[in-house]
Amino acid sequence: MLQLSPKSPSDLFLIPSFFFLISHFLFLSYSSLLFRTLNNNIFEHEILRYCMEIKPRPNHSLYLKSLRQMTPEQRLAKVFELSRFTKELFLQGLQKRFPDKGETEIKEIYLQRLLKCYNRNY
Amino acid sequence: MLQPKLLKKVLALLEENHIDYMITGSLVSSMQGEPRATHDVDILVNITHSAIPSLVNAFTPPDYFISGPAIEDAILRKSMFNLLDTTEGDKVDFWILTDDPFDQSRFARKYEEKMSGFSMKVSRPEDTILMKLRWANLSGGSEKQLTDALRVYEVQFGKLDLAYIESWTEPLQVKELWEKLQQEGKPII
Repeated sequence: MLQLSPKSPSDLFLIPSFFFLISHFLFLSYSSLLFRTLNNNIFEHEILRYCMEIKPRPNHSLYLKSLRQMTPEQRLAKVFELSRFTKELFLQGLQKRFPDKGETEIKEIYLQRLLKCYNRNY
Repeated sequence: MLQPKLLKKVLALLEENHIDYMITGSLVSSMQGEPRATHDVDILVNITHSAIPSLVNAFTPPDYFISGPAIEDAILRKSMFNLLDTTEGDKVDFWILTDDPFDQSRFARKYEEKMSGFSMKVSRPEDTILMKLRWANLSGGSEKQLTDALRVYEVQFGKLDLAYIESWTEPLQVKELWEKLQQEGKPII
C-alpha cells in the first residue's frame, strides 16, 4: 500500500516529487494522444506532400508542355528506352561489383536480383 | 527478347486467340503521363480455360517461364499469373478480369491506341489514375503510384472526365488521395 504520510523530513520532498512525476506523466500521455488524434490528417497530408514534392520542380509547366507535345507512341518508345538504359546500368554496376565474373555469371546474378524486385519496388 | 518485341508477341497471341484484354499499369501511365522505366507489363485479360494451351505453347523454356497450372488457378480464383522472359528479365503480369464493378467499368471503357505497325487496347486516363490511387492506398502511400497518377492528371488535364473519377473515388476508398492529388497537381491549361 502506498504511504503518503511523511515519516521523516526527507519524505517532505518525496511527496511533491511523486505528484509532480505522476502529473507530468499524465500530461505528456494526454497531450501526445491529443496531438496524434488532431494531427492525423495533417501527418497524412504531409507524407503525401513529401511523396509528391520530394524534389523541387522548377520549370514544371515547361516539362509538362513537352510531355503533352509527345504522342503516346513517343512516350511508349521513351519507356522502352529508359527500361533498356536502366537494365544496362544495372549490368554495368554488377560488372564493377564482380569484376572476376564472366558475362554469363553476371547475367545470372542480374536475373536473380531482378526476380527479387518484381512487384516489390513500390 | 526485347521488351517491345515481347509486348508485340503477347498482344498478337491474345488477338489470335480472341482473348479480350486491356493494358494497364505503369506502361499506360507512361503513355498518358510521364514515361518511366519498368520491367513489367500489366494486362487485364478476360480469359477462359480453353486459352491455356496456346499461351503455354507459345512461350516455352528455356527462354520463357509460364505455368499452365498457375493460369488454371488464377482463372479459378480470379487472381493473376505471369510470364517471365528468363533471358532478359522482363515480365508480363496477367490479371484476370473480375466481377468487381470497377474492373467491369474500366474494362468496358478501354480504347485502342494505334502505334506504327501495331495497336493496343489500353485503359482510359481516368481509370489509370483511379487504379494508381487504389494501388497507392493499398500499398500504404507508394510514392511511385502517386507520382504516376499525378503526372497522368497533369498531362491529360482538360481532357479528363472528372465527374467519372469523382463517381469512383468513394467506392474505391481513394477520395482523400484524389482531393490531395488535385491540390498538389499543377496542370497547364
